[in-house]
Amino acid sequence: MSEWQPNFEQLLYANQGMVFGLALHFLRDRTAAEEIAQDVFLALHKHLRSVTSEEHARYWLRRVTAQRCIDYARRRPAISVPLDDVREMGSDSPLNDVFLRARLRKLIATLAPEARAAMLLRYQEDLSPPEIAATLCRPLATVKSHLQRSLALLREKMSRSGSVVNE
Amino acid sequence: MKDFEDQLRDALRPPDVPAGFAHRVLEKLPEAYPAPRPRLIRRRVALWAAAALICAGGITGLQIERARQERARGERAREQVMLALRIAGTKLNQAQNHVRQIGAADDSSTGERP
Repeated sequence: MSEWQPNFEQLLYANQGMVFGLALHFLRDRTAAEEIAQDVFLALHKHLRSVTSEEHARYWLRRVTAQRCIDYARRRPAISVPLDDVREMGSDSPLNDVFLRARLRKLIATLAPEARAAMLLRYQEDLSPPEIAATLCRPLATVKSHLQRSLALLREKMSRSGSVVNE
Repeated sequence: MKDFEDQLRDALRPPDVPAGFAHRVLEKLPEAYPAPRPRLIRRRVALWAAAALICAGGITGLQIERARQERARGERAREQVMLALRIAGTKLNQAQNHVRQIGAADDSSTGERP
């Protein structure tokens, strides 16, 4: 069996959407998200020799992106979104989904940095709680607690604003 | 109607990456982590070699200086011994002469003849 050889360009093209998406959903700032995503890939290039497989590279990129976003968010004041910020649409309108998604993304951005990272890894990357715990280097119980509390909080905020929330 | 978690997954679908993102990353690679140039490597080797030569020269010089100091100390000690011997010889001669003079004076006062 031949040994896997890391190809930086291939890894960059395959994972740029994931890295930029995590950073953008986390920070809600395209410039900052691109800056962080670029730094993450430059760091990957520096550590390329220690990467043993594509899956390992993906895991490494998620971990470093999440950590850098958390650090970035801690250095900046928390985002607060007024509930009236997003206009209400009729539930049958095709635009409803667009506004609902925008509203959800805004509300996620109001979560505490670690909880936000856990939610993004869960619902953007479809990771299981143990995988999230490994990625964020946090105890599983903490991750589960972040996920449960964040879900409850988002549901509550969405129903308070009158958006349709299905259990 | 969608489940709330599905709504979250929908909302968090990865967005489109800014145009030219990968290109900008690739452009930054050489300035962020430049590969060491052969010329630079040769210069480093030459610097290390020069440093090693200077160290070796210094150590040899120290050893030569130490040997020279040892020889000088030995020389001084030899000179001091010689001086002491000369002084002792002179004193011995003086004492011998003195004894001889005393002996000659005694002989003349008693009138003895050989």
